[in-house]
Amino acid sequence: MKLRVFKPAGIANFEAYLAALRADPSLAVPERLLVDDAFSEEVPGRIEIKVKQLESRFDAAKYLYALLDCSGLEQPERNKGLWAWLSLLLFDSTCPLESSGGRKPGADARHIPEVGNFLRYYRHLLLGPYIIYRANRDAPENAMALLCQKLNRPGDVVEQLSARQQRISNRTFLAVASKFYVDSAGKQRRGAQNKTRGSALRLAKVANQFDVNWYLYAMKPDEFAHLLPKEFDKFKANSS
Amino acid sequence: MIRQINHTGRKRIARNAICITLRKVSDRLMFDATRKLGDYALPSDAHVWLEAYRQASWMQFSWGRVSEPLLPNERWLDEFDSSDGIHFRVRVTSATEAHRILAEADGIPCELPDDDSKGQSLLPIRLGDLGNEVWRLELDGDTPTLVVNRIVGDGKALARRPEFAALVYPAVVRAVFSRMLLDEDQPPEEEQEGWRGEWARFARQYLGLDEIPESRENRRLWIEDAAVAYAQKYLLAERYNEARREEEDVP
Repeated sequence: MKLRVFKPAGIANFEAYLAALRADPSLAVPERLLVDDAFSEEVPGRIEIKVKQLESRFDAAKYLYALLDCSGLEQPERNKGLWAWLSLLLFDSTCPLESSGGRKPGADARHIPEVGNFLRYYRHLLLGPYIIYRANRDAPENAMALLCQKLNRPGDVVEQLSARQQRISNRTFLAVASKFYVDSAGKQRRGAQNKTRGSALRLAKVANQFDVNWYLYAMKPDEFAHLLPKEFDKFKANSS
Repeated sequence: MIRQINHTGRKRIARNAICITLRKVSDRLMFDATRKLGDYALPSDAHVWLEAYRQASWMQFSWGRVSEPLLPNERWLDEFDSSDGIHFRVRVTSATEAHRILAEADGIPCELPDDDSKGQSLLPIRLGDLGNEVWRLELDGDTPTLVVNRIVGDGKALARRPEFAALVYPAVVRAVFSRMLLDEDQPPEEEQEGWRGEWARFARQYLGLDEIPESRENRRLWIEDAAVAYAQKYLLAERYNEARREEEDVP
């Protein structure tokens, strides 16, 4: 299929579908919106995109980065119609059928991005991982703390860490978080998502405190890890 | 208002002490920067760092020492595919205690490349001779233009200050829409080319206003809504207060 973007009418219809899906989880996906010229239009350059089952945020980010990086699209991250269209195209990944036979779409922002709102863009299930992957494209493994989760279930770690610009743009912080909370198989470690001592949420809070006095961006990951209090020792040991 | 006490000794550098200008060279984005740190009593050997950021994208540049503002020759902002939404941050760190922050300024906006601003600005700014007026809105040219008195110093920088924006721009919004909707026979269409169409699209798409009403009285109300929506969208009063606080915090 050729890559397309939603027109305003396409976005409005997708929004209406999401609202209707909440009332009737078995409602069929409106695939017509993807190809009907009244609702969407083809992106110049005739870019081919395949419908794939994407399991993790990393899988989605890597796939979309490879697709969009060479697409010639200017500022794809600001194109609301593009990300909404991609969401509907990949709906089986972003909003899969549950065992009950229905779908649970959650908030609109998971499918239609609020591109002008930095504090909310990350909630989009495809755009959020794409932006994080792109910023860490030289060493995406350092950002696995925010990319290792299931695509349709980002969880609290992503929610808490992504909302603060100084966390997601700080490669030192992300490298330490990824070492601590992602195991060698690329899965999030148990306890990472807790709100208790040593968790990812605590790491973000401690980093916020350190930010007042220390220039974390200039530190090496080991220097930052060395500064951390004992509550993180368990994860330090796991990562070494 | 809750007052926050700064126990750390870290100094807050006013945003207007830093001036960042972007320009395009062979289609690549580059920045120039100047600073005034003389008022902050910082150690002369302290390191100064400049960061550019937008969302998860981030770049860092050394800016020499406090006493020696040396920027690297390679100041390309290749991490960013456009100038849109880039902000800057300055951090001053100790030369004697590694990574210790002595002072910082965050959320520093930048001046856009000329070609970008020409293409995008609804309200071009130029300097003029205005006697004792500080600013004036010209509505009779090709496009509404804000004229700033050249005797007030860097008039273009003044026009970007939050205090100026809060005090002046709602009046500009009222004046432009009044010209379009009350002084002229035909209200503009959003599809219309030229500044009237651009301002109509701005009202609908960025300020979220309803369609332009038919009756003259309702148009007056619509114009008031436009000024209110503009102030709300750009948080003018909040930014005004923030800028005032920053000035008061300067030691």
